[in-house]
Amino acid sequence: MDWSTLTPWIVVSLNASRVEELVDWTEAELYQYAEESFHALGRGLLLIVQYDDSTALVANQGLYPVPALHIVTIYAAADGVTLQPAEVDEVEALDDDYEEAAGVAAPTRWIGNASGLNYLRVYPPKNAAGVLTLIFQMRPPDMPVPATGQPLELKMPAPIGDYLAAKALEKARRRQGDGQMLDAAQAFSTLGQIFERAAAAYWGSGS
Amino acid sequence: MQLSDIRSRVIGRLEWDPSDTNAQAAATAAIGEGQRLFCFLTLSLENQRELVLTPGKSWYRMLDAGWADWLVPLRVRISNDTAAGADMTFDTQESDTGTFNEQASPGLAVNTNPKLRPASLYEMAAADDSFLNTNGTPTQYGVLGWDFLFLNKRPALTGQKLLITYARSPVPLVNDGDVPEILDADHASLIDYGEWRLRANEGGQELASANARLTSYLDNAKERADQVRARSLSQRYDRQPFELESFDYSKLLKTRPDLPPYRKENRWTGQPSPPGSS
Repeated sequence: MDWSTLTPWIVVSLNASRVEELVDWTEAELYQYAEESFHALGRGLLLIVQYDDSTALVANQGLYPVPALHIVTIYAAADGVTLQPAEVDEVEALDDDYEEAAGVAAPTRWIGNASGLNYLRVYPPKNAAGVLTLIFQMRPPDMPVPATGQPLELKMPAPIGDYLAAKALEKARRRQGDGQMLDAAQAFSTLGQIFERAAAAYWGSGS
Repeated sequence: MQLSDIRSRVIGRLEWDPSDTNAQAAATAAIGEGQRLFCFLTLSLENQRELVLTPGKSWYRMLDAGWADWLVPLRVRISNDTAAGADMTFDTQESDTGTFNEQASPGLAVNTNPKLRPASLYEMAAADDSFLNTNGTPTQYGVLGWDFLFLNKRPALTGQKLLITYARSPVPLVNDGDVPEILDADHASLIDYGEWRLRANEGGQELASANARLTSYLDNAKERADQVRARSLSQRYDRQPFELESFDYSKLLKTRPDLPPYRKENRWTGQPSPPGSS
């Protein structure tokens, strides 16, 4: 959907007829409010799931960086063969030298907590080149203010566009200043929570 | 009711100038938003479309694939439309003209068990740990997130299609003569929502007194969702509408932030937090 088509509706909801008439907020701030809410929702709920097979397995290498915007790994496969999820304490109990284990033809596990949140370990490492396939929860995209007259195309179900509009209005009305209206902020918060509960029921919790 | 009728009633309740074009635009936007939320809560609008599968590919992003009105899948099956050429079913609509599926190839066989069963990634992996590499006609599907659809086998034949029944968002209301797609019986709830939504812009006593309109709208949505859920169960659909019954929205309208919360809840799901969590 083109989220920029909701901008006039947000502006009217702030009792102005055009963006230029907004006194207490800028257009960029409204986009920032929506973007922050989008990122928060995408962190709390399982909204965007991405398939990635761009990581090449390197012979005898165990540690691999996760793709950009990765939040949590859901599934991993080496050359299309499923790797079982595991944690360091489990693997260490099996193999005290798991970090320097010898390469094998077919790895069996992936470890999510091997080295910070930005890396994933394949155990045992593969002894030849291959392909690492990941299916992961992805952070929603940014929402930059588009150039005048240009769309901001975001792939999202239509109700989420309305949710982001409600959250932008909530944050705008909650901000301290002449435009602050706490009861209006509470109303938009209520609306946002209705969307959130339904989204949680349909798409599930995230990380 | 037409959009113009609903809009004039909303504006009448607000005692705004009915000839004010800004007021008309705001009311139209509020009614459209109300209809989208109603469909999201009730899954009362459905569509059925064919998804042409790509040989060797077992996952699809439905929103990227151009299904802009996608909400959740209800039923997925293999299409038995095996005809190629001029006799086959239309594949897509361009403007108002159906176009044939040019990718279809002769040789597709009719599937006697076309329905795909829902399964998780790890259920598929338990049955076949290299399912990502397995070619064949899919028998299971799963959905993660809002639009990531995956299959337990990679289709091998060009032109194989899924026939997907899914809950969808409504077509936007634009012109005065447009009629909301939700049931006629529910059109009055759009008036309630429109009134509350536009009062939310104003705040104050007007908003406080309009909160009952939101409650009325949600009660209506709950009744319709109950009906859709019963139908979905009897249709053996894979998804049902959100259970508004279990959602205590009355406290969301509480305007006394000084009162303590009844209990700690998960921020996103509304479910009670497990003991010991902060």
